[in-house]
Amino acid sequence: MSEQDPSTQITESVEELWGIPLQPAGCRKCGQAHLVDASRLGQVCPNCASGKLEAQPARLRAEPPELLVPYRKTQAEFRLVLENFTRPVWLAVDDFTIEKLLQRAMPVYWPMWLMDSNVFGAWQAEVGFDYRVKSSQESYIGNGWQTREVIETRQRWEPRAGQIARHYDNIHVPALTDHARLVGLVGEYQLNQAVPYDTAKLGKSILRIPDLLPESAWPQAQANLDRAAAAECQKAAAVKYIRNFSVKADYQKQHWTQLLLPMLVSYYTDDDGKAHPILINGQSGVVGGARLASQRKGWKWAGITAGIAALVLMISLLLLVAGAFIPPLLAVGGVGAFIAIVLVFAAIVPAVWPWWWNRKTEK
Amino acid sequence: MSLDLSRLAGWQPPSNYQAVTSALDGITVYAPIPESPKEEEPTAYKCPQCGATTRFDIAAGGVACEYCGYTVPAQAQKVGVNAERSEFTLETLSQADKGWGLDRRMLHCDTCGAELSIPEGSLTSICPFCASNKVNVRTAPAENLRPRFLVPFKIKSETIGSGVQAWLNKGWFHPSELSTSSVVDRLSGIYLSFWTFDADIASDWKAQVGYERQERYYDSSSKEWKSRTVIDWRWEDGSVNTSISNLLIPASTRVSRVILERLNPFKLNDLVTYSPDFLAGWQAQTYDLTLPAAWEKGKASMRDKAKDACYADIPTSHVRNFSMSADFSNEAWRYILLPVYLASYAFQGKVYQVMANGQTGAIAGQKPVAWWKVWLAVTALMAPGLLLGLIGLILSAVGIGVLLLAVAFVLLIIGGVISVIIFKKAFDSEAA
Repeated sequence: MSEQDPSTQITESVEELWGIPLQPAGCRKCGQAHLVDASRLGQVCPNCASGKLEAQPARLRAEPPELLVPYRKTQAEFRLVLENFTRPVWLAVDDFTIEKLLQRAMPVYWPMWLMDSNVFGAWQAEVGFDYRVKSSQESYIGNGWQTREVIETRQRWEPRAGQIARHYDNIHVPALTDHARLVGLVGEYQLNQAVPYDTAKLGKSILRIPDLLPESAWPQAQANLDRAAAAECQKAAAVKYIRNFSVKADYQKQHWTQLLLPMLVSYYTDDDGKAHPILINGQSGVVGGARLASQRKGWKWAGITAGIAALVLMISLLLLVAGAFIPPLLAVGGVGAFIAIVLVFAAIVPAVWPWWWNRKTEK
Repeated sequence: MSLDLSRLAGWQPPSNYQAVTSALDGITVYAPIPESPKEEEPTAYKCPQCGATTRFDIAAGGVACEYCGYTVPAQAQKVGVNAERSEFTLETLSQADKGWGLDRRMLHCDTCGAELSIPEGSLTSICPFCASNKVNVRTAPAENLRPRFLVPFKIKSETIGSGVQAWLNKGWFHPSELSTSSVVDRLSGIYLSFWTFDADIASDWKAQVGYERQERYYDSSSKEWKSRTVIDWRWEDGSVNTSISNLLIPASTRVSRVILERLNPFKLNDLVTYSPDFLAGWQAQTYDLTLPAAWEKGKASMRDKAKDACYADIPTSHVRNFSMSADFSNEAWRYILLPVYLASYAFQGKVYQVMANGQTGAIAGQKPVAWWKVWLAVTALMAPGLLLGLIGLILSAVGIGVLLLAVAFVLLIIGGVISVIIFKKAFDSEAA
């Protein structure tokens, strides 16, 4: 990496640097830093939902974000999304309700790096062309052969080499160590819908601060740059396919800014009081997070069912005894005993269900 | 966005690369220089020591001067059956369909300055004025339609000559003048063009297959229980994969295919890369059966092999309503030259061909038949039966006549069978 721009600095005043009235804050539990409105200090950390946000200095680059992907979902749409998310959970924990999730929801923008760079170097690759060959399928019926010609398309590969002197703008590079996890939870964003950064669009949102500095993000940035270069070399060579692309290049005049991605973060607590974050993609509405069933509720319902079964069994036994004197009661007692046995088995379901569901969710 | 490429001084493309058009500013593209289908200049073979004409010498395995003994090994590499194959691309098929055309019919002899007319389809020429050898591979419609591999001559013409003479002398029903004819003197070595084909064939067959079973039944006429064989038919199907390599199809229609078949096998393990050195002083013919036409013949042969493989997959010999499909894949071909000694001669107004495999020495050809000898032999074979039958008829009034008739019948049958065999051999001998 050459001409690395080391313009990161530790600051307590974002307003001086970026001109927005936000304050750096961190969470002692997860160690992540955010830029928040002062009123959010002391509130739950939007990353882990366990710790509290405390004012602390943060390492920031001088340049404000360059682009952001705006929120595309309304409050009503978020409600609908959460309804669909919570509905399948039977015996959900008490805290896992739409109202509580919406009430605790925090708008968060999370960052990706946008890197600009010049690429000067020499490249080589194998390029592929389609060519067509004639084959045939023959069939023998009766006494003669019938031929059906088949034209197959195959690829021919040839080497190519050359030089490249190109500038690339806005190469997307992860800026968070848990970028892949977040994308896994809320899905990909349509980055072509990004608009120029504007403080007015931030509202009361929390901004997460990159924990992957450009120095650490560089290997991924270089891979993405090479990929962009490969696509352009393919275009330059006017070929259909390219493979085994390699480039020996100088990457000059790098410039790093941020792209902000919208997310709604909420949380709920389980039976043991442990907080679980729920993340919603602010652009597509995809929801991610663990939705747990309550084992406590399961035991409760299993106990109630088993209690009813015991009661029905006792009554049935009494009826069976009485049946010795009044024979018609024998039948009623028998049916009652059968119902009691069914209820005993039914009591197993709520006891086992939360365990099975939570295990499946964790997987 | 493009930047200034001149900042990248010092980079050199690989040595065999040339610049090609780039669709984007700021990116240069270099590609390997394609091997252009070069029009090979005629090569004249002259001894650098004594100036005499040189030719490929079988014993020396290279180009040799028979006057001063100067020898140069032929510049070629042994590739055997792994010689590179080509695919049936639409481009090649369309070019192959055009054949070699009729261009470059005239050749200038650098030795004596004569203008020579090259026979159509010929790759070599001997100047009739100064006897210099020339090898001239004319412009092929595509690079891979030039001969790229060949099997060199292994057997000397003297050896073949004595073999052909012995072959001509063999057999009693040929004219006796044949053994004293000058056929052997007309033998000349020639490289004939062949196509080789490869393919994998996935075949699915379906048929009613019959299984024999012994059945007991009551014969009301003889009033007893007997056994008989009945066939139970049931539908069966199967799949067979067949892989066929190096199927040879002659690419010349000027020589008898039947005789060429009898010269097989050629050992393709001896294939070498093409070099004009091998053709010096020898004749060579280009193909006149185009690749698509030859492939149709090759495919027909392969289909039959696949069909035989399907039949072999069926556990019994009772088969009916047979149908199959054959899906060809990995089809490939080569254009090669194979060594053959060839002589044509006329006998009583009819032209006959004799050929010998220049690699193995196998000999095959047409021989005229002295039909009077054949008829004489047939008469001699049938006469005992006919005479005995006649005597048997005369003596039929007496008891012994029937016995003679029976013996005559047997003799006629034996005589008839031998006569048919003689006739067949005689016809085959003349057939081409």
